[in-house]
Amino acid sequence: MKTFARTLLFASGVILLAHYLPAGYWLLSAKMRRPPIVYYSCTEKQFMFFRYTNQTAIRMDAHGKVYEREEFERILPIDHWMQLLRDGKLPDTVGGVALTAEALRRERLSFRIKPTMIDTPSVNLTPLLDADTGRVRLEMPEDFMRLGATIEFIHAQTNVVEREKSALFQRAFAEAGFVFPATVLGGNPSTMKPYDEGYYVADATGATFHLRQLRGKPDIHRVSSLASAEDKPKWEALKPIYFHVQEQDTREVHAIIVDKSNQAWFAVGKNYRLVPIPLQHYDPARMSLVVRGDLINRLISATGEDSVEAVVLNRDYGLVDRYTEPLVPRAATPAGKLARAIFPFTLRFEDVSTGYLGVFTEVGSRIALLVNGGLLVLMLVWLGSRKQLRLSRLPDLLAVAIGGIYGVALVFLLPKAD
Amino acid sequence: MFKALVYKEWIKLRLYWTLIVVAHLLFCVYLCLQLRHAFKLHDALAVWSNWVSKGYLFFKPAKNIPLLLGVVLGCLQFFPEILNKKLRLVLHLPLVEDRAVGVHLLAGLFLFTLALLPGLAVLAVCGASYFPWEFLLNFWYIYLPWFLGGYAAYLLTVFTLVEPTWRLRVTCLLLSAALLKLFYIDSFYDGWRRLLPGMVLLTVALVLLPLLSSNRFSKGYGS
Repeated sequence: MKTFARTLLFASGVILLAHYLPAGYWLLSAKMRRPPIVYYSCTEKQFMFFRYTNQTAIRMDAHGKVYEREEFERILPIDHWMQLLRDGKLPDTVGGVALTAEALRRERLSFRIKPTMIDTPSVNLTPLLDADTGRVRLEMPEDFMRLGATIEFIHAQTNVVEREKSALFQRAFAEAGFVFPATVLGGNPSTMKPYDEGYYVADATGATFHLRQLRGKPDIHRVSSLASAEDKPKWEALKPIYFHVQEQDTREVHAIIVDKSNQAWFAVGKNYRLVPIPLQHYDPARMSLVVRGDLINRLISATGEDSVEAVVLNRDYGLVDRYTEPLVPRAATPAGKLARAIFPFTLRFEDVSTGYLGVFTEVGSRIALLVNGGLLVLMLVWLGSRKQLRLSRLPDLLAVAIGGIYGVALVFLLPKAD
Repeated sequence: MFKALVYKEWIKLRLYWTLIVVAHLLFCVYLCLQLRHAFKLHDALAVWSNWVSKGYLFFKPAKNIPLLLGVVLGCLQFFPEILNKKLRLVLHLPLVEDRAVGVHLLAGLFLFTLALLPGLAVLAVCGASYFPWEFLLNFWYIYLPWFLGGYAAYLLTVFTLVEPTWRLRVTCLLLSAALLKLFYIDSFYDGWRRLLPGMVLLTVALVLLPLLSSNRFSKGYGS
């Protein structure tokens, strides 16, 4: 029992030190590291960057030329149109496109998808707004939709399932060919938006459906049946893991979809055209995807710990330009290299890749492995010289072999074996 | 012998335990009244929306109660045993040493569970009357780590108190605090789901630590 208890003590000690010591180290040595903000100049036809170096913001182009703020704003008139308009410097047209305040405001697109939005805990209850109430503003419904093995509506005030409405929707789902249970659901349950797009739902087979409520009635369609003949096979083959719905004034983009192969797609236009976003390194579990659109272009950037990639598409979603830049990951900075040499491994219980708690490990470098080996040899020599090299010291030896400096600290801190 | 030891612990703790149960029950009733108040002041839709999208949980003020109860119960049960080293009497009973301490721990864990259950039942019934069953699932996923943290707090308190030397007692205290902090990481809905099996195993394994301390105590370390 005692050996078990000491083993447990050493194991918990190693886990705790592997969590708290690196956290303390980074609390002291962390420096500001921000990836560059990528822009695309519609006048110069090149990528522009807003970089942070030594806590100073620098505006530059892809060739490293540094710009003053006013010059930077002039080269990016659409991104800074409000300032230029105020200063009276907004050009009338760019590339033959008239820049009016109303059009600039209306055609603005902005989406951001973070890894924690894709893999996150959520309650399987959501309000299904009525997209066509006949009222000027959208209103919150009085019930919540539960979409899983069936579809049900629960009245919030009474906390009772609305049988009639639930049956009505259940029938509509069956008629649309929806196979329960629903596997992915994406929508924007808010009234602070220009219109209601409803929800995109993947059924048990992975097929995508578009669900709305119109004047209290269900409106559900298999999206492939709404798409053009050209896009229909793409929708049929699509296996979504995430739908991002965010209504914008242009009403152009229905949703951004991420599928099982890590490909991101736009669903655009009346015919639900499915446009692949031509990023080559996008990993939804590790990278943030930002979409910024305007009168002329759509700029999509994927930023992770070790790279930033951006593509520019025209208004017809044709590729205009692309840019990739490797970033120095934290582990490759001098502080990171030192941490990887000192700590044989690091444990965290929270991570940017998910909203769920878990065990997230970072393994140290070869130096840490050598340090572990060296410490183990020293430990063996020390125990040998004191004639204590026996089975009861196995937890100590294992702690040093696996935990390196964590193990050494524990050998001196924790109760000795008899 | 088993019954006698459990009875001894009951005699020792019954007054404090009863006070704890009543205080906890009253606190849970107070939380339920606050929920009722929220439903009176705002429409149900707003309260549900706050829960679903912003993580409003009416029982969240009860987060640290299991932790507090674990520490208090551990102190109430074992502090008198440590004073003047009365625990030695228990360890000299005609019973295997680990079993004697084990009976004390079982009694403590049982009383800990019984002290919390009535209040938790009140919270669950109240929650279920205002929210759908998803809320009970939410309650379970959020409260279980806190509950396990309470068990861990009790076992680690005993581990620290029974440890006979001051140097190691400080180490035990630091280790316990670091470990307990992990049980109280904030998370929404079933965010703990992937970590729960590991935490359950860890909590069960922690029973070994007070046995290690009592073993050192019986061997007379530090005296």
